[in-house]
Amino acid sequence: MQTNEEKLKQLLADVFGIPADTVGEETSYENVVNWDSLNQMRLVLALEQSFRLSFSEQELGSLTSYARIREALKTHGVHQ
Amino acid sequence: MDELQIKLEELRRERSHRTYSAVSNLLRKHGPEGTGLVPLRIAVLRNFTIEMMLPVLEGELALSGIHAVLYLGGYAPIAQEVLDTGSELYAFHPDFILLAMWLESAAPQLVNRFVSLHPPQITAEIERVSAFVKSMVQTLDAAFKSPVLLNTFPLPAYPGMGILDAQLQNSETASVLELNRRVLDIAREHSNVYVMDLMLVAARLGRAQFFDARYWHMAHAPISGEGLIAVGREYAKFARALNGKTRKCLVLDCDNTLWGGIIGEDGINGIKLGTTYPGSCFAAFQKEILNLHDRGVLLALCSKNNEDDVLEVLRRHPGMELREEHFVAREINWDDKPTNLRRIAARLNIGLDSLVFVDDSSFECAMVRNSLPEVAVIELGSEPSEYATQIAREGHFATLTLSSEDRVRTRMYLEEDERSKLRAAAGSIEEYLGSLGMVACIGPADEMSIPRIAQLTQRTNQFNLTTRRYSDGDIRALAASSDTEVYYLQLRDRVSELGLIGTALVKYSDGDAVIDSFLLSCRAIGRGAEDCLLVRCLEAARERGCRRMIGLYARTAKNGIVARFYSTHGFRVMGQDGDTEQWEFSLDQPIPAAPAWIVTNFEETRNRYANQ
Repeated sequence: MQTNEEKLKQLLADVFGIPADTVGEETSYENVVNWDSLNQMRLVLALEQSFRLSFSEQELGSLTSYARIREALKTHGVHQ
Repeated sequence: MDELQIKLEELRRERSHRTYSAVSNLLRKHGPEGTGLVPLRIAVLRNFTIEMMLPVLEGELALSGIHAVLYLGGYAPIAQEVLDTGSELYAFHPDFILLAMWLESAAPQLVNRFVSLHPPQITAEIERVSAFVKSMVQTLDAAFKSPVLLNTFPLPAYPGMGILDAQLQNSETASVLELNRRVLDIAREHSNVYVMDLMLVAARLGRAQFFDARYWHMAHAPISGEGLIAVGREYAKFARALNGKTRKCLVLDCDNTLWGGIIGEDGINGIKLGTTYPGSCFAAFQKEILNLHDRGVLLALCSKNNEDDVLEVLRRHPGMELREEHFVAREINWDDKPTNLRRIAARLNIGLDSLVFVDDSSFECAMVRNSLPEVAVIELGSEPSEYATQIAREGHFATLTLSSEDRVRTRMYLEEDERSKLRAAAGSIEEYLGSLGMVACIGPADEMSIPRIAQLTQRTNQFNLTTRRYSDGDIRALAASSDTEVYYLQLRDRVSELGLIGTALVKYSDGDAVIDSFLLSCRAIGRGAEDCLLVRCLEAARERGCRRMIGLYARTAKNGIVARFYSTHGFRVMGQDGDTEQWEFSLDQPIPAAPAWIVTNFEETRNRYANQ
C-alpha cells in the first residue's frame, strides 16, 4: 500500500512531469520549471481529487511547496 | 515508449487529474513523432479558462490511439483570431475546431444582472450572442472545412428571481434555453458543425457540482475539477466519432450480466429477470443494449456455459428483451474469454479494437485487459441497478450520423451466415460467387448517399487504401466540385441487399486522375465488387481525356489486406512519399475487365435503390 508521502510525491511528479525520486522536502515553485500559475491550478484539482478534500480560498494561495502542501493536507486530516 | 504505455495503463484504471496530467506531460515531451500515435490537430477557441480540461482530452484520445496536437486560442475576443487570416489559428491548420463558449463571458448582463433587464434587452442579448456564434461558424466553416464543435450553455443553478423565475414568461432559465435552441439551429444549418451539450453534461453531474466559484474569480475558470473531466471526456467522444475510433461490437457475458444468477445452477425458472427487483435491473440493462442494437451496434455473446442452456433462455424466457436474432455471433463454451473474443472479431471481420467486452467478473475482465489491451472492458460492479448507466456513459459507440445501414446492420450479418452455407455447398469459389447473382450499382454521390459515404470513410480501416476520414460536409463539397468525382458502390445478391458498401474519390488535375480514397466495407470483401468500382473509375477518367490514373496506398497498421491492390490491378509503382506509395496506370493500355459474376449498372444521376 502506498503511503500518503509516496502518494503526494507521485502526484507532484505527474502534474509537473518530473521524476518522483526528485521530489523532496525542498521541492517548491521556485525550483520546478513547470510550476507556473496554470499548473498550480492543475495541482490543486489533482490534490483535491486524490485526497478527497476541498481547500479553502485562503489555503489555495499557500500550496506552493512540498512542505507547505504536506502541512495543509495535515489540517485536513491527511497524515504522512 | 514504455513510459507512456505505463501511464496510459494507469489512466485506464484511474481517470484522475493526476493521471491525465502525467499522460499529457509525456505526450508533449515526445511529440506525435515520438509517440507513434495518429496526430489530430485540434484548435480550441474559447472565452474562458479551459486549460485544465486539455489534459483530459489529450489522455482520452491517447487511449484511442490519437495524439492530440493542440492550439489554444488567446483570451482576446474569439472573433479577432477567427477573422484575422494572418493569425496563428490559420497557420495551425486545424483538423477539428472546438469553439468553447461560456455564457458569463459572452453575455455577463444576462447571467449576473438578469433581474435588471427588460424583455427587449433580453431579446437583444440573445440576438447578439447567437449572431456572433453564427458569424464565427460561417467564417470557420469557409476557412478550414474542418468540423466545428459548439456547445450549449448550462442553465443557472440559482436564477436571480429565485422561485419566481419558473413562473415568468421571460425567465432567466427560458432565455438560456432559447439561446441553446439557436445554437442547435446554427449547427443544423451547417453539415460540418456539431454541438456538445454542455447543458446536459452539467446537469448529469448536478449544476452545483459542475461550477467552482473559487477559480472563476481567481482565474476565470468556472468549471469544477469533476466537471472538467466530464467535459473533456465528452469532447473526446466527438473527436473519436469523427476519426474512425468508434467501436462496433458489444460482447456480453450472460450469467449475472444479462440476468441475475447462473443458468447452469439456477435453471430457467430460477434466474432473475423480469418486471420486479432485482430482475427489473437486468431488463433495464437489456433495453439499453437494444438501444445500441437499434443504432447499428453489433451484439455478441461470450459466456462460459452449455450453449443449450443459454439458447433456452434466449428463446423461451418471457423476461428476455434480447433474443437470438439480435446477436451476430455467439461463443458459448468453456474456452477462455480472450480466445473467444479473438474468434468473434475474426468471424465478424473487425479488429479487436472494435470490441467492447462486458462482464461482471473481475477475474474475466482482468484476463481480457491483460491479454487483449485493444479491447475496451466494462466491468460491471456489484449493483445491477447501475448496469444500464455504466454502458451508456462510456460513449464507446458514439456516432455523429445514423444511416439506413445502421438500422439493419445485424440482419445483414445474419444474412452473411446464409451465404456461408451456399459457400459450403459450392464446389469452387468462382462457382459460389456465380451462384450469388450479384448486381453492383455505381453512381456519383448524391444527397441520399452522402451520409453513408462519409460514414464509410470514418469507419473503414481494413479495405481502405488511404484511410482519409471525411465528414458529411467534406463529401458534399467534394461531390459538388467539378475537379472531383465521388462514387458510391451498392451491391445486392440473391440473398439480400448489402447496401452501400464501397466508395471511391477521384481528383482530376493536369491530365491525371488521382484516386484519393478507395474503400470497401469489410462485409463485402472477397466478392470482387471492388474491381467493378476500379473499372468504373478508369473508364470515367479515360472518357474525361486523362492520360493516366494515379493510385495511392498509405500503409497503416490495419490495411495490409490492400497492400498489393494496385500491383495486382496492372498499376506500376511510381514512387513513395513518406508512408504513401504512388502507383500509375496508363490509360492508353486496355482497361481490365470487371468480374464476370457481377452485373454492373452505372447510374448517371440518381441512386436507384436508395428508396427501397
